[in-house]
Amino acid sequence: MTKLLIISTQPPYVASASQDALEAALAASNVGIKVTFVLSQQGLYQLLECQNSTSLQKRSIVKQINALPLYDIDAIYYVKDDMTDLMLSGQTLTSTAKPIDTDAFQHLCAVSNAILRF
Amino acid sequence: MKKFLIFVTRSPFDSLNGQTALSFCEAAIALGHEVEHVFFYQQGVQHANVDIKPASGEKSTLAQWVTFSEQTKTPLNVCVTASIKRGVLSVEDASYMQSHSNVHPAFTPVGMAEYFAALNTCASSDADSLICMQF
Repeated sequence: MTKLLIISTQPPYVASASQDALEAALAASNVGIKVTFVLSQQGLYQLLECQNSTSLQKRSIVKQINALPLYDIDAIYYVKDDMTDLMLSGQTLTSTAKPIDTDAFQHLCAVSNAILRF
Repeated sequence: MKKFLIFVTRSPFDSLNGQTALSFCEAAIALGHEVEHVFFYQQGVQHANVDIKPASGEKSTLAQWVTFSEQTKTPLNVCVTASIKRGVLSVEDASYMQSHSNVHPAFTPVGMAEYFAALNTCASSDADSLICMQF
């Protein structure tokens, strides 16, 4: 099975990158590709449970991330080291995404057929 | 021989990524490799926009892509969803929105699944020769 790694590095709402990454993940999963979705750098802000996009009139990014398993995208991770850099606590992030260390992240990069970075 | 899938996400005027992608494609084909197709996503869809005019004396990236595609028969696919968001309209979308189409005919508006279907097919047939490049 083809393995695609999508790396989402941008915070939600300030640009279209986070939404574009999610749409790419869904499109890939739709054609039978095994998608691994990794949030790194400021992309971790997408995982904050307390985000509220109502005033921006945008679809909630965290709700869309939480819905990914419904579309056969179960491998959702964030880079643990980046959480420390951003002074975020794991308790504030959605439990849909699991922490991985840098070595595991590098392994995911190595075993994927293709990588897209947003 | 390697088989390349090219993914362009930056606009022609905000970065050199598109120009680099084009140079890469030309070099790859000159060396006997194959470019399966070029897919334009995010701001990259602006490469297909005929309404963008380069400043006087500057090269038109659009014209270069068109020449490249004509000479090498490499398909240029532009994401239809990303295009509509950015006002880059196919004939069909323009008709629906009662606006004018501004996608150059050398570019084919397709769904994103088109790119991933090609990725799936190439990876399934010969994963070792497949290389995906993002610009």
